[in-house]
Amino acid sequence: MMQTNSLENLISLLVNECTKRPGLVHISEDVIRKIVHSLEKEIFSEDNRKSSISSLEKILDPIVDLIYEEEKK
Amino acid sequence: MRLLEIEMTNWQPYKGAGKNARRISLDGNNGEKNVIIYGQNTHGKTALWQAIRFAMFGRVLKRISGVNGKDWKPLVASDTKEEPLLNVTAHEEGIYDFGVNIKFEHDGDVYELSRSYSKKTGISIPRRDNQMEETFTIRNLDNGSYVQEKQKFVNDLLPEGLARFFMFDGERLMEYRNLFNDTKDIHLRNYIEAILRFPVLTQGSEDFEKIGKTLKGQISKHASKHRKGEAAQEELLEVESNLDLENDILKDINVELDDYNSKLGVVNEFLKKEEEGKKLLEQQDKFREQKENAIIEIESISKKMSKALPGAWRAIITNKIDLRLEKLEDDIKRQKIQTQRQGEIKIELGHLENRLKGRDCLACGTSLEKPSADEEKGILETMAELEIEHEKLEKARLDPDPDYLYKRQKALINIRNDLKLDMLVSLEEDLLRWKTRKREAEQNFEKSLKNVSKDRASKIAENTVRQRDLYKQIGAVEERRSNKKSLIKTLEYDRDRLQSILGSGGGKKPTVYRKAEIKRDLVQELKNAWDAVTDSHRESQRENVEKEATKVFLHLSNKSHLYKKLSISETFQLSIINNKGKSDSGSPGQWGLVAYSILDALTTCSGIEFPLIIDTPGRSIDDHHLNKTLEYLLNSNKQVIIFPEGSELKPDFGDKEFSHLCAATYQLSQNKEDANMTDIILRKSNLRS
Repeated sequence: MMQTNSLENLISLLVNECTKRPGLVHISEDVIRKIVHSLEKEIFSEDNRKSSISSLEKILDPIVDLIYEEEKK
Repeated sequence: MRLLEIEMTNWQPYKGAGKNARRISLDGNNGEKNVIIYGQNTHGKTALWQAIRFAMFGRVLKRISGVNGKDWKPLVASDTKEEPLLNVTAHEEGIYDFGVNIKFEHDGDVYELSRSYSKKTGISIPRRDNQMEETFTIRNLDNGSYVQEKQKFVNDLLPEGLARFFMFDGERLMEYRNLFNDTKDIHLRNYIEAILRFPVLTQGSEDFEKIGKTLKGQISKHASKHRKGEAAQEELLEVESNLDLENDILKDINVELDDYNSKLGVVNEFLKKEEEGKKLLEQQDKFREQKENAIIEIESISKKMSKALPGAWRAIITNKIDLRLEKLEDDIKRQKIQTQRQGEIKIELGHLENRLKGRDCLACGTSLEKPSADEEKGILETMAELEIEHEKLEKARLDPDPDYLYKRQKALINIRNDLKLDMLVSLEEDLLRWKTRKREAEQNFEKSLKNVSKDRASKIAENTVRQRDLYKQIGAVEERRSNKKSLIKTLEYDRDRLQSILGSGGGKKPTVYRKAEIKRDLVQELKNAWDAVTDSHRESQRENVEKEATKVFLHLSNKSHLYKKLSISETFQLSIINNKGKSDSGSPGQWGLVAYSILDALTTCSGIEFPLIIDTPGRSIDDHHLNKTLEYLLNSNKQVIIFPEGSELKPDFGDKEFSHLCAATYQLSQNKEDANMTDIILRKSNLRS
């Protein structure tokens, strides 16, 4: 369902899209929210996206660790 | 976020600090949150509006700046024309502290944000911004803690780039409408896109791509390092497989050998019992022992020889050294003969000298007669010839230098000795000798079979034949076993070498490498997901804004019989659509309402909870539509702070119509004693006591 709040609408679309993709099974709604909020805060950043990329990596690294551990098993 | 209080210290026309700091409260007794602040032009409406912006972002645009202005007001100046933030009278009085405190409620907690400036230590009268020092704090009043990442906290409440949609000047209202017309101005468009979160997708996609590119580089480096390991791993698997196979074959050979030895044991046991057979076995044992000794010796000598110079080189070098030595010896011999001849010439010359002078012979002591003149001439000629010969010999004798020849000869002999050539020759001789002994032992072993008497029993004969066959078979199997062992040793060496290359990882990808691959795949998938929803998000937000703006516009204009909707195209071009479905030019008043409708729709769709703070709200619309707009906004869920100019909204009328929707209404008025100062007078109050 379409939502008025652009942020919630965006998150809803992304959650729906990510569930369709097998490669993103570890990307929960909570992670998507974190990513979206991180990106939102950096919309006007003037550091050539360095801070944004760093924040994204902090969110993604624990997921990478999780996938790696599961793969090892 | 909901504003509860604004307190200004020596802020523009609001002079006063501490108890005398100027305050506006927005905290209504029954939850009212709106305020109306009336004020004539130049009485400080804009300064108050700017105080909120300053508190949030630490800077304030000059009024002459447009929507995209970058012309900031100075912190300090002694002239009011420069529009400094520090109150000019305070500056004249030597007071250089100014700032703004705001209290607000956010996520259920109350915060106090304080931003102030004071002169730097060592500066007596600040005249430039860099002579001032900022103090900025945000404190949670519910738990007493201070926010650490203050500016980040503020940006989370409202990014500065989006502030223009929440804090705007009615005088510039049309600029906001124009945001939707001026598609060429990417800068302006960016703000619309930002408030609708399009950059979360577009920039997010770019960020994922950048991360992916960086990872690609890292993976390439890991792969380059790992490739060697992968090759080694493949080779190791093959070597280990071969090793297993060869060990299995060796086991089979050992079984086969055990079988032959067992059979041989039976044959030998039988032969031992027979006299002839016993004799035969003794002989065979002797010859076998000789053969085995010879083999041991041969192996030992071969090892020694393999450590020394290989035969071919040895032969070449020996030959060369011998040739050189031969030539050297010839030279030395020649020089010896020449030296000897020189000695003879010297003796001859001495003799002739004595003859010339009539002295006794040096050799025999006989008295020599003085020669005649003819003889003397002949002697002198002979002496001259001998001296020439001596001189020639001397030259020849010293070329090459005899010392050099002797040294070279010694050096070559040493080289030959160092190469242990003599030892090698001796080893070769030993080798030949032991090979001969081995061959003899083998022959003797064969012959021994024939030494058995002719009348031996047929069983002995049969067994000796059988024994011979078995020895042959055992020899062949032993040779195979020896070859197999040698092959296994080589494979084991290869295995150890490959394992040392692979180290403890056993050829698997290192963790950091594998994680980089996982991350690369993950960000690629995220990028794909982000790209996939970009268009649908853009379209849904366009629809949202269009729907919200239409709702507000039709409500404010009250002309639903004329207008159908506001239309926003895919490229965010804006138009009024009439009931005939055609684009309508609209009056300036209608477009003013459109601007309000768009702003309201954008802020609603953004989901950002921040007050709408509107300076001179009626500047672009007529009284009727202003009243409709104010009524709509003040009744909305948003907190609204409006600063109407006297002619836009008369205070008595405003209070009568709208004060019940507000926490309070205020009047700004010029200080009677100082025209540069503004007083804030509370008109209507629903404030919390």
